[in-house]
This record gives sequence, C-alpha cells and structure tokens, in this order.
Amino acid sequence: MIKITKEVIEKCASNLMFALTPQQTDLIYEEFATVLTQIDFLKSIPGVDEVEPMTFPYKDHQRNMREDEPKKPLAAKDALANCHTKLGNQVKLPKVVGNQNDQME
Amino acid sequence: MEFEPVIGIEIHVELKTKSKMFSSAPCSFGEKPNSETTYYDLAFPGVMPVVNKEAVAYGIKVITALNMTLDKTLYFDRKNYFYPDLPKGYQITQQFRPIGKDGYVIIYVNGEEKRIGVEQAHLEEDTAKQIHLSDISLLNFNRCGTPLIEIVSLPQMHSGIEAMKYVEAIREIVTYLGVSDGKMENGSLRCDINISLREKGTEKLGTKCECKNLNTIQNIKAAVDYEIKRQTEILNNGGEVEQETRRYDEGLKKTVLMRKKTDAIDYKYFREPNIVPIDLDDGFIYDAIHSMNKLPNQYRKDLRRVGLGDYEIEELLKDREFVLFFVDCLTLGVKNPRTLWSILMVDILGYLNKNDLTISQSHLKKKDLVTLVDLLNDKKINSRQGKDILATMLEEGKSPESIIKEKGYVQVSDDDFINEIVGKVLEANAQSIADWKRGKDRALGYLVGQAMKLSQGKINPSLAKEKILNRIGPCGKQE
Repeated sequence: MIKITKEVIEKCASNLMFALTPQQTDLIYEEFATVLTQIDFLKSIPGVDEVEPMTFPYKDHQRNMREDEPKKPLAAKDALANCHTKLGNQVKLPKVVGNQNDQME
Repeated sequence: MEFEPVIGIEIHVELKTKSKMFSSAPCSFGEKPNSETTYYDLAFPGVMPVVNKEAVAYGIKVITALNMTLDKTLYFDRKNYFYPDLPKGYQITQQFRPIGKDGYVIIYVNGEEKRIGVEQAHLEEDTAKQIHLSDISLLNFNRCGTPLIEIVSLPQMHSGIEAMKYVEAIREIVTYLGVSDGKMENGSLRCDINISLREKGTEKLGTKCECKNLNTIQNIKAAVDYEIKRQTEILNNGGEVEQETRRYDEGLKKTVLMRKKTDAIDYKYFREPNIVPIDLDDGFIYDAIHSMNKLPNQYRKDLRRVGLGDYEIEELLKDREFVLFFVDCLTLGVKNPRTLWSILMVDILGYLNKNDLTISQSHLKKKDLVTLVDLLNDKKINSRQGKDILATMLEEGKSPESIIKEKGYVQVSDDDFINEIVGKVLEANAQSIADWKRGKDRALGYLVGQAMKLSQGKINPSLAKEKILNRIGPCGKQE
C-alpha cells in the first residue's frame, strides 16, 4: 500500500481540486494515521481477503423505474432560500474558472 | 516526417424526456433560471434518486441504433468531484457497467462508406449551467439532473471531415430517433474531441489534446484541422505536444489553451449505493426497440432507390420533417421524385425560411403537392405557372386544381392554337427572324418568349419552340 505522506495528501487534494491550508494537511495526515491503524487491524482478522466488497445489503435486483411524469418543481424563491448571494434568479459566487462555458463535464 | 492524426470523440447527448434522470423536476430549455429543480437536484439531505424509465428507453434506442450490445442490468456509479455545478458533490453515471458497448456508426466521406467504432455509451445526469462573467460566476440548476447519454467513439477517425461526419451521423441518429433535439447551439449535443498525431505506420498513440466547446458541426472540422496543423508544426520543429485542454475560438479560427493537464483528476468512482441494480424487463426492451423511428441510413437506401443523387439525399436528410413529407408524397404515387425534391428543397424551403415556418405550420398539403408535381411532369402546366400555383398553395392552402381553374392556367398543347400564336409572333418580329438567319441564336428564345406572352403563358413552350423552328429553319452562320 502507498505510504501516506503530507506530499501524497497535497497531491490527492490537488487532483480533487481542493486547496488545503498547512493546518488542514496536518489534520488529515493525523486522521489518516488513525484510519490506517484501523485498516491494519481489519487486515489482521483471518479470512478478510476472501470477503467480496458489498454495496447493497441484498443480492436482489429491482425492476422498478419512475414514469416520465414531471411534478411541480420548487419555486425559484424557495430553491434559492438558502442562497446568500444572488443575482436575479441565479446563484452568484466568486469566479470559479477562467473561461466561459468551462465545466468539469 | 509524415504523421497520422488519430481522433476520438466523446459526445454528450441530452435526452428529451419530460422530467429529469433521477428526479421528477421538469426539464425544458430556456425556462427562468432555477425554476426547474427539486430537493434532489439541489442535494438536500435524505432525498433519493429514482431512475426515469423513459430515459432508459431512449438509451436502449440509441444503443440499438449504434449497433451496440445492451447490458440488461443497469448499474450506476458515483463520480466524485468538488465543483459548484453539482451540489451533491458527485455525478451519478455508469463508469463500470455502461448500458451499451462495442458498436459502430457508418459515415460517408467523399462518397466512401466508413465504419467508426463506438466503444461505449452510458447514462448519466447533466450538471448545472454556469455563466462566468468578468469577476463572478452564476449558477442555474435547471439543467442539473437532465438525462444524458454519453457516446464514446474509438480513436478511429483521421481527419477533420471524418470527425465532422461522425458527429453529424450521431446527431442525425438521435434526432431521427426523437430522443434528443440535438441542438448544438443550445448545448443539447456537446462534444469533446481528442486529437493526437503519430508517426505514419506506427501504432503507439501520441500525446493528445482535448478540444472542448464546439457548438457547430462546421467548427468541429475547423478545430480538428487547425489542431492537426498546430501539432504537426510542433513535431516538425522538434518540439513535443503537451497534454492540454483547448477550446475553439470561432473569431480567431484557432484552438486556444484552456488549461494544461498534469495529472488525471481522481474521481474516486464507486457504485451508487442509492440505486439498487435494475434488471430490464424483456418486454420493456422489446417495446423500446420496436417503437424506434426509421434511421437516416435506412432512408438513404430508400431515397437512392427512387433515383435521388447523393447531394439531394444529404440535403433532404438534414430535416426529418422534410424526409417524412417527401416519403409520404412518394407513397401517394408522385410521378417524378426529382421534380418533387427540387420544388420541396428550393421553392418550399425558401418560402418556409423566409416566413420562419416549419412545413407542418404551413398550409401545404401532401396530396396537393403531388398533384402539382404530376401536372408539371405531364406538361399540363409550365414551370412559371407551377411557381404561381405553389405560391398560392403555400399562402392560402388551396388545391392546384382550384387555383388553375381560378387563373385559367391550363397549358394548351392544341396544334391549331399554337400555330396561330406562332404565326402572329413571326409576323410581328421580322427583325428577330433576320437576326436568327444571321446567326444570332438568342433570337429563338426571344420568339418563344413572345409566343408565351401572347398566349398569356398558356401554351406549351417546348411545342412553341418546335413549331417556330419548323417555320424559321436552322440558325444561320454568324457574319
């Protein structure tokens, strides 16, 4: 397993597009040490490697899907009720990237 | 050194459902910002995604049209990232089990048929629309959650024209299927193009650049051609292509740097735990496939069979409504498909564009158009009369028969009547006859025109020409 160093944490943060302060990096480094200790403990339990990772509690699948029937949406004023900075009906925030239409996907 | 461009394309197609992929919020284009959201779209805690059945049906249609293998069990995954366009902090997509795999699209480049492989297609949700102004960004969550199908090609294209034709083919397919409006200008169909160069004859791919924000089909060709030129120059000058994301600047007519790619972003994909895998029912799959509209390539074959050329077919296929109209006229037994094409694509299209109408919004009826084309084909009316009749049909919705009756537009082919008109014209235009004898061949056209004028457009111009020639003899030699 990769050794978790502060450099690894900073690189991961950069890949996830987070900016970390040195204090935050230190905190994550310390928390990771705890997590890794716990993982080491789990690995010490015999037979763990043979257990398949589980996402769902049951093996059953479903067949249900929603009909394509739109329902009444939130009113714009309700949708924006928790938004402290607005411009018209849009959420206003500090400029995120440098180019018009730029987006992650 | 000679290089070979290698191009792969990812296309995001917005599906034209009434509600979103995982929530019941309506999804339409151009509504007031932030007026089409639910708690789910805004990531309020405790709300769960529920898959839209119609979006899946649309997905099945696309998979079938792209000759792909359908995964009958739907699995969804989380793509985690921190960015304002998705308030949940992740996008639900299909990273590990896409709904479709291993298909292909047929494109036609300079008359040659070419097969482009499609690696996979997966269902996912769209992000919020961002507008970046000089110092702020604005967010509109109406688009957030709109169903998308992402279609990923294999890197099997090698020129700007191939890339353009591929996107055009995908756009045609999704619009003919009726699963998307395919409007690139509205962002309903968006593509990212990966372009790299490699030494000709080698297999190893070069460093690629991704080109984004291509909002017209023409810009795709322009961007790819420019990028090929740019990378060729770098390599020929001994440089190295850097991995970058670029965008096409229409004003500058070149690609410009958006950002350099250092490390791939780690999205920490894992299976979406809030959607239990869905087994698609055989009946549901059958219904989706058997309710598919006819595809453009199927129309291509039919249209070729009735005698249309490649240019005529491609022009007609640009608008499905026109194709359906044309095919219905064929079914009604129109005698001359090429005359029908010409009237439809020149006169009628011109009228519709001028008046900002679609064909279904006009007064035009299919059976009337067939009658008009047949009247022209049988030379019962001449082309000038045909244009007048069509104009009235479009404006007033009247039948050609009633317009002909009102205007007295029946073309006369009666020999005695034509001889009488021709006689009068020749008598009154001795100078033109003299010109003809001296080799001025334009005099014939003038004489035919005079005969048409005198008969008020009623006589058959070919017959008039024939009779005039019989009377005045061959054209003389120019002095």
